[in-house]
Amino acid sequence: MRNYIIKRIIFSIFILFFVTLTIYTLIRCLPASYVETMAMQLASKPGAKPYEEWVAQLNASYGLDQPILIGYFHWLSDFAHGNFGDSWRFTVPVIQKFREVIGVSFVMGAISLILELVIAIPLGVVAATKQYSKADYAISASALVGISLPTFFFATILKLIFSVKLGWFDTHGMVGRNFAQLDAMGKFLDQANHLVLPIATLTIVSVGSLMRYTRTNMLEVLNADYIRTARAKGLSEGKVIYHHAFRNTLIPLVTIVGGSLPGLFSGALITETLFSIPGIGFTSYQAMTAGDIPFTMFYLSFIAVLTLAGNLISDILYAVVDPRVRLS
Amino acid sequence: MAEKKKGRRAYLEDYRKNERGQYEYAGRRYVCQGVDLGRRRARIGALCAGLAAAMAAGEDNTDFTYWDEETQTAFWADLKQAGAAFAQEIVDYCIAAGINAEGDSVAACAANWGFELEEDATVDDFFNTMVEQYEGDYVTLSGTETAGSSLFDLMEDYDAYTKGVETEETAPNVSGIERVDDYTLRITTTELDATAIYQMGLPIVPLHHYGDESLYDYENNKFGFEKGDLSIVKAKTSDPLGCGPYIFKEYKDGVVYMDANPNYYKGEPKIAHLNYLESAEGDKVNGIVAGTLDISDPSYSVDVAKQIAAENGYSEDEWDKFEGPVLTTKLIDYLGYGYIGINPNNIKVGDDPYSEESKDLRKAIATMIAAYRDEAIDSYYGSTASVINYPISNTSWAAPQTTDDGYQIAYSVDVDGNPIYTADMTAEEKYAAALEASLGFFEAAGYTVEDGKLTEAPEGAKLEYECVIGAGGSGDHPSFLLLKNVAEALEPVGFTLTVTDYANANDLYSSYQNGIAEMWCAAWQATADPDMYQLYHSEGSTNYYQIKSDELDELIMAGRASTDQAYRKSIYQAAMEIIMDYGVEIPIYQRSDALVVSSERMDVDSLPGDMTPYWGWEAEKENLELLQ
Repeated sequence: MRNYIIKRIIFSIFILFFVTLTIYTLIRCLPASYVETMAMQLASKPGAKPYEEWVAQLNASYGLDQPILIGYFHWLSDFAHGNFGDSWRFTVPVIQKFREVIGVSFVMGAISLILELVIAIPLGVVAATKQYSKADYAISASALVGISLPTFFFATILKLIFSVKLGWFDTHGMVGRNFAQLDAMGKFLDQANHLVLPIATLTIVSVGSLMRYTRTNMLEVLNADYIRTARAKGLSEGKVIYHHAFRNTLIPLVTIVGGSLPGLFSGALITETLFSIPGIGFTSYQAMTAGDIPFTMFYLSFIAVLTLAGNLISDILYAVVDPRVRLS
Repeated sequence: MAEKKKGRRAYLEDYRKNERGQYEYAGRRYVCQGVDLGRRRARIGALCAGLAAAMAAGEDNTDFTYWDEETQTAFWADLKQAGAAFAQEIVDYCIAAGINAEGDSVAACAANWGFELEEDATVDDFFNTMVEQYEGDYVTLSGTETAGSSLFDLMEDYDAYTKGVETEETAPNVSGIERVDDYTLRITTTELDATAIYQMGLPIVPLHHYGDESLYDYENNKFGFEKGDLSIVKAKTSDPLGCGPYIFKEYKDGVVYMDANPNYYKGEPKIAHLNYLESAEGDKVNGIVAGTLDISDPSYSVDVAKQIAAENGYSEDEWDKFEGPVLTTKLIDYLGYGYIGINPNNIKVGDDPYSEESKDLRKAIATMIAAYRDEAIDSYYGSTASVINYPISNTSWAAPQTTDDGYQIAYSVDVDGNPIYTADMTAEEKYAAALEASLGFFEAAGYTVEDGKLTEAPEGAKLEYECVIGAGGSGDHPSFLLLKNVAEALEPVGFTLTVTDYANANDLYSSYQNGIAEMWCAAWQATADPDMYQLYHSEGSTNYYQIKSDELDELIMAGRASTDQAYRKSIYQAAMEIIMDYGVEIPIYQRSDALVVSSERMDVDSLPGDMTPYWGWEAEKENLELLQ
């Protein structure tokens, strides 16, 4: 196991290198350029230098006059030393901005994941145990709807119904108009109120796939020989399903859930942007559209690290929960 | 040699060494009477006079009237170590950028930087050589040769030398700046410049914030701080002022929190707390309806107007009813205008972009564009925008009015100077007349016209041109439909107008600012003064039209030299006629900005009565009231 983990980590470092190189190359080639936008603003001022001169000067100042490969290695060197630079868009150190915004993304992601598990697993089990019943069809259809709905569409529908038409929630933002005047409990409730629709969006659009996964695995297990044996022993149906079948269904589920844990820190770019929630997703969107290379590189590299870590955790968990699997 | 990095200390760049070796401010000037020049002369720099004076005096200075020897010694030692670090940074940069190999000598790196040194030269030698070449002009040296850091940023105790020093007789006050009363200041300029007042957009700061009231005695030339010591002021340059109607409290969670200022000189605002919430465009109207926002400024178009009408319970046809039970809309003219530009270097006949044939070619295109403006602007903005006929915002006092002598529709005369349109023409008849007039211009430009079709272009000209537009890649722009219609109208006569829609606005900017675009769609944001220097003067920094006209230059300079509005208006009208004659800019539209407020929560009557681009809702924030 130890050797396996070390080998995987080494592979991950190689993958990370090429991933970050690809990301850096793509960002440098993006049409959205912070320098060009800045140059445009500066050149528009009365008596200012021409746009081209500003572009040349700013490119030099921001180190964009170097070839992509050299620029990448400069970034990599800084990154390896823990120097993530200053965000161009937010004019503060990247790590400071990250600390400011990661909290709300984590909270949203964690609550959404818990809700997802609480809803998807029981419904998946019910759908499997009552295969081809009305309940199964209803659950499967709901799951399909959830999977098929694009996040931006579903979020917009929620906003239209619950904010614009019913007026139950604010359309956007993380706090209400009187937030600053509220006491601690009031502030907590106010923020919770503003997270209802974003969390509902995140949960509903992602619960379907987990529900279907649970149902499929449960059906597979229910058709296994040892389940038939358990029933032949005269065990109650409840004991068969929840003691024997469900525990075996958990094996692949744990790997799925384990793999999604790092995703708690990656934020939800579309949902946060639509609800103007200042989390890591919304912040990275603002950084990307502004051509903020330091922040974008940090965020995407962070995501890459999380993804690699997630895959590793999944594989390890698989070995932990399934004694038949031994990694070497 | 690779391009050098240039980090600059902007304010130091504005100081230049003159023939006498003294440092003078060479940056942008606010023309005002400096001191009482008849009897006294003083050079007290606001920021780095001490530094400039010490550099001007030189290392061997023995006059310690204004600073002591110890300070002078420390200053030069600090400057030299900064110089060595400055040179080392260049060496490091050359190696890091691959210009030099690892381990190359200072001389080898310097050679690639344009300086010849002995092979065993040190970074000190490198810096001394640079100083010699720049004849002791450290400021220019720093700005020109930097590989990242300013020379002065590398000084360890820079701030110690930036304190103002008196090098000659001092002035008790600046006679051109006078306090009239508690709220009035008079600034007297040494020469007439109509634009000077607009360069004085100075923030007002109360004495209790910037200084010490015990040190204020205007009659005795005491202004709230010790003369020569601006540390009390500098210490607050990054602090929110808090002297307006609202005081900044904090920025958090995408919200700027402001609290009413009880000491505001116009009286304490009626609303105790004011929040600015970051909002996406699509949330602005919905946000008011849902109660998230009270005031918003959506990008206004017919679609937005129809949404507002629907929220108010009106039908789509009633979109121009601006007051409703849910939302109230206030329209304010936008301080600027939309136009289509033509680069004469790219659309010309022969080699001369300013020949009559070249002008006729551009007028042929401009005539067609001008003819199709009404339909496109009405379709996009409805009656909330208007077509304009001169390259100036209607919000300016210098904008020609329909009642003015000589006022005419843009590009509405044919090649012989006769009107193209008559009052009783239908839209289709107007388009046909415009096409006929356009063919006349094409023919005058040297195109071959046979049976109402263009068959051959003269040398240097083409039968197809391109117009670039930033319509988000989806055609969402008031001029997009216009150009499409013009392209369709010209296609049957053998002329191809390609419309390229850039999704990224930066592509659009760079294409016309680099002189690559043949035609482009853009908008100018106007300034309060109609001065045309920046846009149309031969030396104008944003003269993307490439107009080079002595006559136009003279008019622009004449306009600057007078404060007589009527005279200046006539000057600018004449200037605009020249611009139009060059066929380089087709004025398109004057749109409106919208302010949408909640009729249910806001007292709409508490908004300023007659808002303009210069006096919006925020100008009277202290008067705003919420409904109970």
